[in-house]
Amino acid sequence: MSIDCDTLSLKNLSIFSSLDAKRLKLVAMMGERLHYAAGQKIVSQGELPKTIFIILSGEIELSRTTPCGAMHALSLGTGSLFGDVPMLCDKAYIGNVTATTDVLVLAMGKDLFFELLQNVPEFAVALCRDLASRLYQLVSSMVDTKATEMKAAKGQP
Amino acid sequence: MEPNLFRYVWQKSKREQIIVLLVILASIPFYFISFDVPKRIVNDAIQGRAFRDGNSTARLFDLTLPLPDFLGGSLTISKGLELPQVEYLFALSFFFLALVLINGAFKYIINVEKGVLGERMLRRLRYDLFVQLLRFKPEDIRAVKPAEVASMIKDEVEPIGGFVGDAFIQPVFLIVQASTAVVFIMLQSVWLGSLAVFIVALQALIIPALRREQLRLGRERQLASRQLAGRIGEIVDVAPALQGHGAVNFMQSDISGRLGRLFDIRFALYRRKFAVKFLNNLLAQITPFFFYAVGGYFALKGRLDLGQLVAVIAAYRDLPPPIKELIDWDQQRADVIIKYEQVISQFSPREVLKLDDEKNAAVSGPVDQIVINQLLVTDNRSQTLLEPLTMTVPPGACTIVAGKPGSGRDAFGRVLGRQITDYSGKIQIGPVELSHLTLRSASHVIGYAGHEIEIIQGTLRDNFILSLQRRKPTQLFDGAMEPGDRRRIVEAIRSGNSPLRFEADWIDYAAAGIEDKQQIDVAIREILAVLGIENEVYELGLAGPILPKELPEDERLRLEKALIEARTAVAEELKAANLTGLVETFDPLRYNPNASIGENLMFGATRSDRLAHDNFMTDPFSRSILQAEGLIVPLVEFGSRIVTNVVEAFAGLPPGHQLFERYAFSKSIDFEIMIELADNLAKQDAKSNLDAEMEQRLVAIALGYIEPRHRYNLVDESFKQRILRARNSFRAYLPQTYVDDIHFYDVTQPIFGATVRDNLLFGRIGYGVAESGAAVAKIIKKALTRTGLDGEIYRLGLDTETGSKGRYLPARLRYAVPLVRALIKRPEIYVLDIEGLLSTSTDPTTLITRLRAHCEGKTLFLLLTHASLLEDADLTVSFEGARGTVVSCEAKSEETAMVTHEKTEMTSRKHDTGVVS
Repeated sequence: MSIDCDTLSLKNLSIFSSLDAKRLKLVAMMGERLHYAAGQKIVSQGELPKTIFIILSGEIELSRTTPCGAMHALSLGTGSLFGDVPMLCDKAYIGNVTATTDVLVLAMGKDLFFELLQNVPEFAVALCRDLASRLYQLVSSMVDTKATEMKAAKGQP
Repeated sequence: MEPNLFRYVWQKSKREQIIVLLVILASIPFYFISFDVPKRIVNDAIQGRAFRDGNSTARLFDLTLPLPDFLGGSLTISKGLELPQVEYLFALSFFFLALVLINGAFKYIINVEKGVLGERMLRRLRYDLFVQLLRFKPEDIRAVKPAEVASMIKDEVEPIGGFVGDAFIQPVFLIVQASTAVVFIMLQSVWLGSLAVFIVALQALIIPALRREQLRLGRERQLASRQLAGRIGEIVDVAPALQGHGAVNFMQSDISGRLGRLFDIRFALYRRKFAVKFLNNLLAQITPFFFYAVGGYFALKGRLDLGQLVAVIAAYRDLPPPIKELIDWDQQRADVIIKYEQVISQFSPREVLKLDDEKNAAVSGPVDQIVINQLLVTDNRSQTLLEPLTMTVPPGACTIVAGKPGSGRDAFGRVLGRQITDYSGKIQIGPVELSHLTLRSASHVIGYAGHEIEIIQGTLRDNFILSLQRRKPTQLFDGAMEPGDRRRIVEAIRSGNSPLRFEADWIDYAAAGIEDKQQIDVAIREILAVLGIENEVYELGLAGPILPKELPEDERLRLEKALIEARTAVAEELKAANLTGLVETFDPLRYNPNASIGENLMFGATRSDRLAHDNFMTDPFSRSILQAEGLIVPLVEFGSRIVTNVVEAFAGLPPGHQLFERYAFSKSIDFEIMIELADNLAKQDAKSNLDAEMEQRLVAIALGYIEPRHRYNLVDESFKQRILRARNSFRAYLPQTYVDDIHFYDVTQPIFGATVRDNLLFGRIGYGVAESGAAVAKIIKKALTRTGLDGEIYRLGLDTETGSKGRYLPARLRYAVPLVRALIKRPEIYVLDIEGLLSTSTDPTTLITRLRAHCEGKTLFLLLTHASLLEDADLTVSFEGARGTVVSCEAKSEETAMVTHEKTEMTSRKHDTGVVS
């Protein structure tokens, strides 16, 4: 597996679509390519983030143990980024992340991640866009849910 | 500092200046006689005036001291020599030669002394500036630009130093020379003398005036050409638009006009330049004309003899150079004085700190309560950083200072840590006002760790114990000192520098509660445990190289044995845990994919630079191996591929970032070199004719390549085989003289030069398998603890170089450096900003608990964001912006609700804890 392959995989990820080839290559060079077998736990709930992960291939699942019991929250596939949100706000992981298939990730340590943010503006902007679109989706889905709830509440007085 | 350069120089070097001036005075008679002798050679020896009355011999070198008659008449000191004419001529000529040598010697001595004086003053000036800088108040220091100050101390004072030697001596020397010549000419003929003085005066007046104009024109030329360059650049930028609108000719005329102006200036400049030259030459040539004409006329009339004429012409030759140098000196003086004033103004803040004070109000032993009254801090733009705050901190209390970064928390911490000295209000530590403490006593009382990470280059240990390096060595000279060192100390005192040696032992062992150097690591480790950063230092230690140390034989053997034992234990554990697949062991018959090409080739660790990757192509042995195995071409090819890729990926990034360093293939090759290499590669199509240096660098880069890490798909099966072949011949033909430079991998021996991790694993952890590092680390740790080697690993960890600004350190250690410094010196008051460390801790609460336990009995201020981390602090100051609210422990237990300003005040009064907000 070579740098060029990784660069190509990164190119196909939506988050990095705005980055040009040389910056993609830089990200690919700096990251460490890691392999997780299906079923292997990647991070644990409550742990402080040390690394961010870009999924090059495979699927992972985020599950959270709440007072009401374990909950499968969501699954993420190729092209997703995780670990960045808790790392940026110095919070612990909100749940366990497990590989559901064989997973290949590009991992970046905390120091490296911040160095990239500080030195490669394109990377920082791409990340911001990704965060913003996730936030946008979250807020709009929240509003939608609220609206549906309110409608439902109105519907059955 | 003294604002007047001349006064400064005179104050600091009076003695030396006077000595040199005396030497100059002593040189006058010899200089004068050297003018007189040619006259006597011509008159007495050649023209034979001494032999006028038919004498065949004449007396030479007779010396008579004319004394008045009442003292017994003239006193003959030497009768001299009676010599015939030819001998007389030679004697006088040799006398002249001797005088030339003596004058030369004087000049030499004066110049050397002048040089020494200048160097000494330069050293003193630089040192004075540096000392002055360290006496700035902390907020003033933060306001200086480091690069600017460094260049001032390094470059800008350099010409000042050079001038200092000249300041007094040069004009005196030159004036003495010139006036000796003038006086001599005057003595021969007043007319010729007046003529010479007149012409020299003319030169001294006209030439500087012309030169001034020349300088002005020069400046004008510079300005005009700079504007021209700017304009051309601008026009190029808009050129396509100009073409489109047909305004090309219009712009051409603009440039034509500018070129014309430049031409005018340059033309005027040339005219001036050659006018000065012409005048100089004319005056120099015309004087001899007068001397020949007027002097000759006098000689014919008998008012001047021939010898006098020759001597006058010779003396005149010595007149213009001193005058010219004097003019130069004056110009230099003007320049240097401006420069000096500029530099000095940068180093003259309104107030400076007291460094040391003999009768200081030192606070020793446990401190009393700290009373803070109406403490107000504003910055230099009168923004309030801290609104008036009043509180009393009982001795031994633990205070939480909570607030967001940038809030009053930081300002409060800095005031307590004496980083801000400009505050209004009062802070009394017992009976003493905080700002009245000298630097020295404050350093003993207060241990401040702020959020700025100040790391100096050196080892981690050096950085940790920086706060202990404050005990002045008492002994200046010791018996075992080499004569060179003694001389250096004397010279340092002469230049007003500190004579204390940097290499001496400065460590304040008592402050750390230890007795000697051996215990430092123990003391550090204790603090590492408190801060929970033992593991980080341990990891650094594992990555540190094992080097043979100066140890007693049995101790060394014990360590080596323990290392091999640990290695065996690690191998067994790996096997037991079924993890052998994670580590690729060093096998003489196999290519280790997780090691670099160079390591695979040598199959060993280098212990010196001789066989380092950078020198591989220059060292005759390694080069011959590469050549014999035909590896140069593929390695150069690999190197070029890597360079092209790296330069492409890193292009356009801001300079000085750390990203490149993470990816570096070789320590000596920085990004600039990479770019240069890439440029050269792009220029050359055929890689066959690369120059030696490029080849060497490309090979060095290629040798650092690790396939699974760098992933360029370069190493294939056949290349591995070739490296294995080369490995065999490398080992087989290694000359005896290289034995100490490389240590081959041998499972029964420690590998000196390799990292501890390599030594223990006797192999490399594979890349790309998640969590492999952590699993192996556990096993290594267990083995090390069992064999009792972990202490050594910490020692190695502390030996790690931090790099500039700590760039080789993990973030957690960078945060910890200021904290360790504050903790290790065991002050009476701790002011610790632990936010950075907390943000990287998995268990902040325990960390705080450990810190509190460690500082038991001392006054502790903890600066952090969330007060909730420590519920039972004696006091809590919460900052919202610049406004702080103080809550005492008792108050908190009673008032569970939100505590407002007034309430706190009331409660604290009620409880009489003295806590007031």
